[in-house]
Amino acid sequence: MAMEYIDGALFAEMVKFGAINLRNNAQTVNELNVFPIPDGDTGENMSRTIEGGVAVIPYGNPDISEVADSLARGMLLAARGNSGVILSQFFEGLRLGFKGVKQAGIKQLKTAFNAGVNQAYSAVVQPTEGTILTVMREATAAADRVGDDKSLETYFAVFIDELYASLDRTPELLAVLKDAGVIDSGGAGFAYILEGMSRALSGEAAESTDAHTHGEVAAAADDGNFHENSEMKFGYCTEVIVQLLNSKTDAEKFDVQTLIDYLESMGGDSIVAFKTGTRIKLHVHTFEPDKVLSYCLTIGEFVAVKVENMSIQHTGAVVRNRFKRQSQKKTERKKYASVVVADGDGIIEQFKSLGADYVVDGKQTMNPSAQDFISAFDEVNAQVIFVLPNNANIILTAKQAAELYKKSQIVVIGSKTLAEGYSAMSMLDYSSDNTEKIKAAFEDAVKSVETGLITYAVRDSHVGGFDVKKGDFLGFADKALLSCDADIVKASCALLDKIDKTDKSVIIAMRGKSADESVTAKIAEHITTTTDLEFYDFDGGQDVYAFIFVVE
Amino acid sequence: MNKVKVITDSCSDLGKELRERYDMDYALMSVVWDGKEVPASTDWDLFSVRVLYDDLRGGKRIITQQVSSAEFERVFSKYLDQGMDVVYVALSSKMSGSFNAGQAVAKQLMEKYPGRRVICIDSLNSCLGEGLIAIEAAKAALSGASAADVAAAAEKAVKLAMQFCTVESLEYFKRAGRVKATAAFFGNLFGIKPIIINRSGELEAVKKIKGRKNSLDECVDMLVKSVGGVPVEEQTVFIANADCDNDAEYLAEAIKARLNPKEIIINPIGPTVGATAGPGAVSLCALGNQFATLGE
Repeated sequence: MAMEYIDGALFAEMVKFGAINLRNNAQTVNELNVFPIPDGDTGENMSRTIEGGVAVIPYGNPDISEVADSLARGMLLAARGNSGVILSQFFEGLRLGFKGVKQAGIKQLKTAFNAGVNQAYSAVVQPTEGTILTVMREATAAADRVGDDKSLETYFAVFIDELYASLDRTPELLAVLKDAGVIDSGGAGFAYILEGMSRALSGEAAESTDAHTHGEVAAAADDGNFHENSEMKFGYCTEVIVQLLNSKTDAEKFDVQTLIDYLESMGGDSIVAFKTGTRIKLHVHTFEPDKVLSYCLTIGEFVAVKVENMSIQHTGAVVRNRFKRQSQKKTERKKYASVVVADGDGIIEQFKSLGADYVVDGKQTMNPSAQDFISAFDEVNAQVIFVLPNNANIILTAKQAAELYKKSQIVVIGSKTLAEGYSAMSMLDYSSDNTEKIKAAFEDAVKSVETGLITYAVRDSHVGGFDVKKGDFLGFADKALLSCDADIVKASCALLDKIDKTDKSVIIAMRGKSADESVTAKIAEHITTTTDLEFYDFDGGQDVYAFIFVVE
Repeated sequence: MNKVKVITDSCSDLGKELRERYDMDYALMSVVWDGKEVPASTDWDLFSVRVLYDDLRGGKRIITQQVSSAEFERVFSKYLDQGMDVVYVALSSKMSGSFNAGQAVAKQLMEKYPGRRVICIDSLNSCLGEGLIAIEAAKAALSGASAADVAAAAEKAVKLAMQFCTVESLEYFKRAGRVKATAAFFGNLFGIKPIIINRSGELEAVKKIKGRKNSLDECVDMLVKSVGGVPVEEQTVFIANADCDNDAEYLAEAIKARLNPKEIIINPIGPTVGATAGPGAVSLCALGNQFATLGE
């Protein structure tokens, strides 16, 4: 039966389905990484962005404008990563487009999607084509040409067709994608969401692809860091599909809200639950998966069950009270404070010792969300808060949080790397008592740093003129691959040799988990014998990069 | 013969040659080093520069002690007995009790030697900042001035003495509790070199500079911008250094390129200041208005 209108209840189901579809394919999206290194997280970021919206929408509310309203607010707060921020802005545009609309027909849908595209573009200072922006714009434009007399299914079918066609063209628009032989990851994430929404509209079940990819990822991520003395910090990611049974309940009439209410009452987080036919698909983060399973057994039997320890998985979404752990007693409102994003125990300690008032653990939060920043802002309680995102993929989130936060003046410094942030933080000095001067000093410090990164290749490839073999050490500066060698010392020295050191006087090596001190000693020897730069190093404890070099 | 003997203390870092040149003497402080109390001689007769700083680099703690009353009595009496008055230029009273101890001894001795003067001057400085104030006083003494006039010359120099200092690491200062610094200067400041000035008798970290060479350049820049009060052509610029001769030479060249002082004197930092500031400390001392460059 062709749909003529989408009401709030259906829209909520569609978005939920979109979130699930993306979650099931998040790892695929993560792996669409332009460099062959293990730092892709677009799928995770986008998943957690939309899940933040899905967790707060009023299910069953027939008014689409109200549903879109809650959804957008939830996503703006949960947004993380550039693609996540753009995604949240797209849904913010839908909210604007659906204003005053109770149920949307094809005309209202066109208006809303166009508003979504415009809003997404406006969120980015310099929009880049060949990204999620292009994909959503081209799909929306193609679907615009569907006649207003056509069905919503047709609209979505055209939309999805163009979405994938556009996605396939992204490498033609963006050279880095072409070189790496991948399509744009943010665009792919968007496609999974819209595909899920479209399938929910047409009533297709999504159970077939459940959980498998997710499960493999978790197994791969088990690095043995959960052991006999570990503390359970993040609970379990619990996903089940329940076949409701008439012998236990009224399978047709069972209201999924009853289940959601129960999960909320027991303290579940990131709840996504919906009913398709007489089956319920459920996703929840909880410390007590046994209770979830017991409850489900009172209404039916399992089709599939997956319970993962998120302390191992490292993908523990919003864990409530996380901030309370780090929080100190509320102090008097300060004039100035700084919030920085960092990962690696040593680097976090270093930032704190340099005077950072709050360090958002970039690893624990898998790229902080706007909400993570807002909680940090509340915590530091200052009139002016400087934010050092220290990651190109977090700057937009920080800016979004700054937009949403009204209690303080938030100054986001555009530090794109931990090295830039480190350098800025080391020059911290509030004594001028002048916000503009302090900001300028931070920005000057950021500008005067070159960042060198050493990581390893996860696959063979041909990048930047290098024949990269899996396991080789790769040296990057400013997103360009400058060295590649099976030997970490050679890769590091070659990288540092190539970095422009005009007017530089110091190199600081933040040593990652995978590098040991003997390596640092050899690099130090190379630097001190071939240049007149000072060389320092400390145990940063970061994961992905064997070394982060601060050349300043 | 002069009517007045100018006395300073170990903290002024004036070695034998400079003391003889300006006809001065000094009251010895002491340091506790390897569990033994050692006189804080600035003449390198008891230990070498290398031994002192290698021990500090090796992590040895050297504790500084103020001038004892007995030492004040010894050195003041020596010149009172010769029929001279004494002007004692002391390390900043905010950093040491030497000034107060000296005043107490001075009072007793003036009773013992009726009609004689022992005037104590709080230099509100340390290192060669104190040293150059003592030299200004000694110059007056050499010209035959009275104790009161010598003291006035010293007080005038107190107002003009400047110090621009940088260290390899603030650790030594922090351990000794002898520097004022905001939280921004704490933590492991890899490669960041603080600029330290003397403010009203206390040392204060005022700027962060990246890299040693840049911090040396900054000291020179601050000196050049602040020097004055007495025409620079008539001034001596002092470069105190804690076992970093090359840096001191570099500073001397950099100063010569921009200023034309009467003289530039490179002088090693002795055990009292050395144990507090640490190896690698350098300090530029001259007369002028040191706050000119800080926009204060």
